[in-house]
Amino acid sequence: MENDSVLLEQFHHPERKEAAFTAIMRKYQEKLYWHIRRMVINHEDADDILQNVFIKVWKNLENFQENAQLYTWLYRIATNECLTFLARQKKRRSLPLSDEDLGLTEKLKADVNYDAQKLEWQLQEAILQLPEKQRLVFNLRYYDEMPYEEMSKLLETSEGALKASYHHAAKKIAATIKAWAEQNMPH
Amino acid sequence: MNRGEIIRKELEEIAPDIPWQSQDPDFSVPEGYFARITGRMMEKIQVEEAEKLLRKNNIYQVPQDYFYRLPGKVLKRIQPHKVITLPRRRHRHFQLATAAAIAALVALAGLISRPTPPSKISLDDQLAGISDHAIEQYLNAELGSLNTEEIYDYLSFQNRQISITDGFSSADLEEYLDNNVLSTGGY
Repeated sequence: MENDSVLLEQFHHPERKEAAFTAIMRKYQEKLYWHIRRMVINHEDADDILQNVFIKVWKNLENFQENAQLYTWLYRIATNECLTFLARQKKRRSLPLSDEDLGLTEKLKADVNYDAQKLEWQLQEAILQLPEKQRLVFNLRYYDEMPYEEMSKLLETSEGALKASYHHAAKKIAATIKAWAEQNMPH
Repeated sequence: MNRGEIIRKELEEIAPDIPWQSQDPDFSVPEGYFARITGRMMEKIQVEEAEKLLRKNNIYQVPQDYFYRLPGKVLKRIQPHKVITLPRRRHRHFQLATAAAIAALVALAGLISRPTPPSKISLDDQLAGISDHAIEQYLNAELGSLNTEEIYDYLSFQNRQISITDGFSSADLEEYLDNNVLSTGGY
């Protein structure tokens, strides 16, 4: 797989523009999809958002500053799209901004593969109980294995604040999982 | 130690009882989704590009200075209209009745205080109303004080040519009267 700077250089040549963009999509589509999917849970919503992200990337890649990392820039667009989507959902349902769930747990349980007995599904349920930003930080660290330094650029938050947020999130999730395990796991 | 191991260790320090596994649940994704998404995106982008070209080759025309005048027109429409509170109809009737009553009072006062207009009685009627006794008294008081010289001055120049001190014959007097007085009739 070609590196980002080569792909960006190719993108600036009109005859290679589409090929370079296709390569960028292939390289990042799955990572971006899962980042979005964990935030919105439903596949159709994730698909819509991913398409919007790539349309925005196509329109703005010409102006992308190469001193920033393409990967971080793509994640930023995807994150903003997710947060906009969730805010719109809240507005449409006339829910207060403090309402975190947004019916996401219902969407999770509606997945054909959902299995309440499996720890990974319970972990997802526990994550969905977190405030939106904490959920974002936990997902980026836990699933995407993003370094705090990069996360700090992406979310424009200090590394210290992100570590604290991640710590609180992990504690809350652990408490939820522990409670679930005590009820469901044989001693 | 890779990044995944570092993250797991980090979590084990926060909550050691939980079997942390950075594995997504088995979310359902349509078969072949990732294989197709790039092609679908490129089709979408090509449509976008075609639309952009169509927008550039605009066949429509706008009136001259349309875009120059547009901001002003929009601002005019969005400026809040001045609200003039009209008095209620009943209140207005009351005001009109009050004004009419005041006007009537002023007119009435004017009529009462107005001096009596001069009578249109003729001079002849006025003279007829004066008694003979009053005329005699007036003549005695006013004309009695006039000497001959004053009476003489009072007469016109023509009359002055006739001197009462000159001796007239009866015939001269009759002729004069015939030519000057009787010919006018009435005397």
